[in-house]
Amino acid sequence: MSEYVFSPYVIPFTAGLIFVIIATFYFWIKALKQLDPEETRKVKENLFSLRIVPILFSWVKEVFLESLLHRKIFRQNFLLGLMHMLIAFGWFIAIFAEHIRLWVYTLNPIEPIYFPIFLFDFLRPVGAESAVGMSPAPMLFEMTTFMMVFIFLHDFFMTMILTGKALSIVKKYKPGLFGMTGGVKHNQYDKLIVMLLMLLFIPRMFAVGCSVYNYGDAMVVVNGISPSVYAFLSYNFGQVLGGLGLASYESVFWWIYSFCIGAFFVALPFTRYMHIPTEPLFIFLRKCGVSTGKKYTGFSELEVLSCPRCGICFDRCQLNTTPGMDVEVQPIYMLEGVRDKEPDEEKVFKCLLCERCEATCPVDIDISNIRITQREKFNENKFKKDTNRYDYLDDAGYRSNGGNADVVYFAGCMTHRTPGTKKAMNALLNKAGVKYMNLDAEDSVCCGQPLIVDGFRDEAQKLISENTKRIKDSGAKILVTSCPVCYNSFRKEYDLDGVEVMHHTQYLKKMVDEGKLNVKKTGKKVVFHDPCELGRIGGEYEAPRDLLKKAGTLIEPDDIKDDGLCCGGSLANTKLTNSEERAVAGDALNRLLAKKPDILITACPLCKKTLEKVSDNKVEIMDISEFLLE
Amino acid sequence: MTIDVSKWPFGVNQDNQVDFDEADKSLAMAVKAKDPTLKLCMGCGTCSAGCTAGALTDFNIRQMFLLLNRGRNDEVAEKINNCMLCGKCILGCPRGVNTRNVILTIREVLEK
Amino acid sequence: MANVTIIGGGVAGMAAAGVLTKRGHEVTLMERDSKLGGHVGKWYKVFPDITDASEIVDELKGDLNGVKIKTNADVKEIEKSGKKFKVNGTSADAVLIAAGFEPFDATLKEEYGYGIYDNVVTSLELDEMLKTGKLKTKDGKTPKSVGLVHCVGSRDEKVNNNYCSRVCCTNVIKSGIEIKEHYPGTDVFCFYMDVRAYGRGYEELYRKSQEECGVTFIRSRLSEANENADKTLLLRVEDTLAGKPMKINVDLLVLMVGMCPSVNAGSLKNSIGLETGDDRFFKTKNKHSANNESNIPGVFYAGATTGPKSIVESITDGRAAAAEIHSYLS
Repeated sequence: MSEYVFSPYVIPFTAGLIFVIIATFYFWIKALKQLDPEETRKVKENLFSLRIVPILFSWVKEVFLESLLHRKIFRQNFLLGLMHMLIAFGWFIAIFAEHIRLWVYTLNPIEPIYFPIFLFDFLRPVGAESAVGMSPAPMLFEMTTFMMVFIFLHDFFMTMILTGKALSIVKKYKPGLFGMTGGVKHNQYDKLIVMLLMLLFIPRMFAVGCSVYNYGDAMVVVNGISPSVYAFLSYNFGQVLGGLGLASYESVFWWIYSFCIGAFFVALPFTRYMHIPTEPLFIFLRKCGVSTGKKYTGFSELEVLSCPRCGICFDRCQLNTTPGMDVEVQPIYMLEGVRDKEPDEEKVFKCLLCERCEATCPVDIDISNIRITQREKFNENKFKKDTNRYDYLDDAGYRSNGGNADVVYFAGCMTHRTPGTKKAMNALLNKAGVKYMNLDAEDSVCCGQPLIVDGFRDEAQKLISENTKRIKDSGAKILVTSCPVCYNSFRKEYDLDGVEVMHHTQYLKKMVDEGKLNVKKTGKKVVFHDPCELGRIGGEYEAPRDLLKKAGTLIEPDDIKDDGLCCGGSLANTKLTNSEERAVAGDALNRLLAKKPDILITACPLCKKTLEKVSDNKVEIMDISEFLLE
Repeated sequence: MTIDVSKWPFGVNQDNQVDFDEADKSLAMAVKAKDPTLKLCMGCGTCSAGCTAGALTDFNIRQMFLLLNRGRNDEVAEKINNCMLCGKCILGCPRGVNTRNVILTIREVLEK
Repeated sequence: MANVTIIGGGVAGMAAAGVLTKRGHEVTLMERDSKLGGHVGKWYKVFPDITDASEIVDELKGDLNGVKIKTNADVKEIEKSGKKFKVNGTSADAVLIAAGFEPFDATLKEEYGYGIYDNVVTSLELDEMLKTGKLKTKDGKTPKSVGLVHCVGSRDEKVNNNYCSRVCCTNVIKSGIEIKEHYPGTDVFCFYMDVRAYGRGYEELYRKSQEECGVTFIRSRLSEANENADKTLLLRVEDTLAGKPMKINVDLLVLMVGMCPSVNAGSLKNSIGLETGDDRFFKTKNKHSANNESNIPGVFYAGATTGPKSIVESITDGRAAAAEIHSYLS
């Protein structure tokens, strides 16, 4: 069976495929070479140990569930998930099924690369030897039940793909059905490749339909099932084409198909569809424990290439969804800019780092970390590095308390602007009989996070070391802060030698659970606003809710937890104008108040201040500590 | 005809007065072009009163803005880096000056 | 004889009612409170001559013979049909909105500690203390030092009020004088950005507070207040003239709250399509020559409903509005 089958029309396809494989390897190797030594070590360690077995298993699982079935997008919106699944999984399984058909027929796993793609012409049923198709005598098969089933599967998978494509056309005109706003602007290469993808299945159906028509009487009834049933798409569509007298142009359609798919492959590395060949490697490395942390590495490069520009982030971004806001800074644009090596300043800096995008990114890209590394890059070009800048802290003359506190309370710079929280926390700590000290009542030192999110991580180190010194000097084993920004800073950037970092919601819950604090149930209807830094970034959704359920009636608006809204006052932003900030805050407040609560509760001084600014006395806004004290 | 004050026998000490005519106001203009909110400052001192860095050093954010407006750029350059960018000032400013961005913009313009 | 309904029985509304009834109109004066006088009716001494506020109210009341007075009448909307209006069931040929102002809610400036710290009060509470002769801290002691903070809720984009409330500066000066006259041992510190003592006799009052009473003025704006263990207050300001951050302790902190539009301004506006400015106060037809007319013929404004005003300005404005209404009805 090793008779060599070839037709010149396979050349565009084959050339395109070879090109895309080379390009993929180029990008893969380039990224792997730029991996941080630490990351390389992680990968090697896993690669040459038994751990590789579970890693491979979960890798296959994730590629299957996410890259093919698009589970995360299904969760987002059923139709949107269905569309992605039909196209991606349908295409993958169609190619796979044709490979199986070929392998079972030839019993040879190594066949020319183009073979399965043009299988309908190369492999014909007995009795169709002299059909129109290609010139050399093709290989022949008996129309067995097996072949019938696979022809059926081909048609079935093609129907999936075409349905997916039809959905994508519907999406273009009715994005609302898919939970999208449809406002994303794609570049011309992306537009071109979507067009090619849209187009290439049409010539394929024409070519396959002609082939099947030209099989003529060789399409026999098998086990009582007629070809119009088992080849419901190709046979019936072939009949239509034959009726129009198009069947004699079969090879022309194969040529067009080959050109389209070849062009698709050639265009692919220059477009968002580069995510298809990059994602598997990206997922594999992540399974090995690699992620974009504080540095932009080869892995980040892969993440950037893995962005499919699906636009889900765009529709989640409050700088897009807030009425009147129209800025192109969302990850979809920012990552595109990074990929093209020219993100402009606005794209990188005009962002609240609320991570609403990251919570739903179907590819799980470390968007915020990439953004911060880009900010650092900008700053390196703009500013002289000056890590001695804060050496004045050495002369700050901090007075030790003698190291006899159990708990150290760090209110946070912002909390000094909301003394209600500070006072309530002090009252609650006293009530619970905690031996604590206020660390930043007098001359406080910023935790460093505002510098870090602005792209000055190196400069922030001095602040971190000064605060570390003060915290350790307190003798406390627990550090409580009222500011979620500080909370993340202490957790992620500090090395506190076993001092437990807690946000005040967590510590208050601990006190209540331990019976040191009593909470009285009031009849008040309360809504909890999840501060981004506490919830999405800090991972704490439940502690405040547990407390509020004990102290009042918690009602949940639509946007909570991962969907929680940013108040707009984030310190991670320097570029939003006052009116833009007000617009974001106003929109968030309206959505939080949709169910008419008596009190709006939050757990972040910045959120409190920002929401109060637009509250217009519509609702009472309190910190959770103030509410519990009442 | 320009009058060269420095040649007068009874000199005016250059350091003790703001020579507004001769002052280099280009930096202030460049900063205001990049962040127009600086124009709104009325010098109330809310920012400097609660300033985290101001409690530890003689950094005075209000004065930074004023000195910049008066063209005393060297004095600005000397201290501008003391700011920790903590953002406390933003929460107080009654005029909505985007203080953190203004600080960064001043640094940027000074380094150019 | 035409019917005129006046919404608001404060000094502006009363002044207008007095004029209109003398001109022979059938005037109905609606006041949401149980008695006439508005804010002025509750106050103690007023500037520039530190007279009793009650004297002003009594004088205005004296002109109200023949005016139909409806108290406890909270007006939230106006109905209009043709050239006629209906206010709380009473029909009218012309309506005068003299709905006044609301004092700024000081809890919105959380960093100042109102409602959080024991010894932070508003200017209204200070006035009450002076009226009852009990200038005391929470624990009943006469304060050794009082801080008076200008511009609370005014000139502040953080509370969405960019405008100046105009009267607070002179009110601070007046309050300082009152405190010093009654409690000579108490130090008074005023934290001001600018002193806008703009009216006749106001600057003289400013001089008096310095020269005769020894009130201290510190050019600064309060950044934040902290409560000490003994419930005194540690204030953080920048002494902007010295160019240095300043810490100062006071026993009592008084927030001179500004003026905000009446709570009913929004619903009145929406009921017949009136217009308001960016400051949310009613917008007059022309700032110079038609400052009492609204965008709807037959609806007029007087007093602080079109922006912060002093007492004398409100009274004058009420009478000016009455003249406009009289010409409109003739």
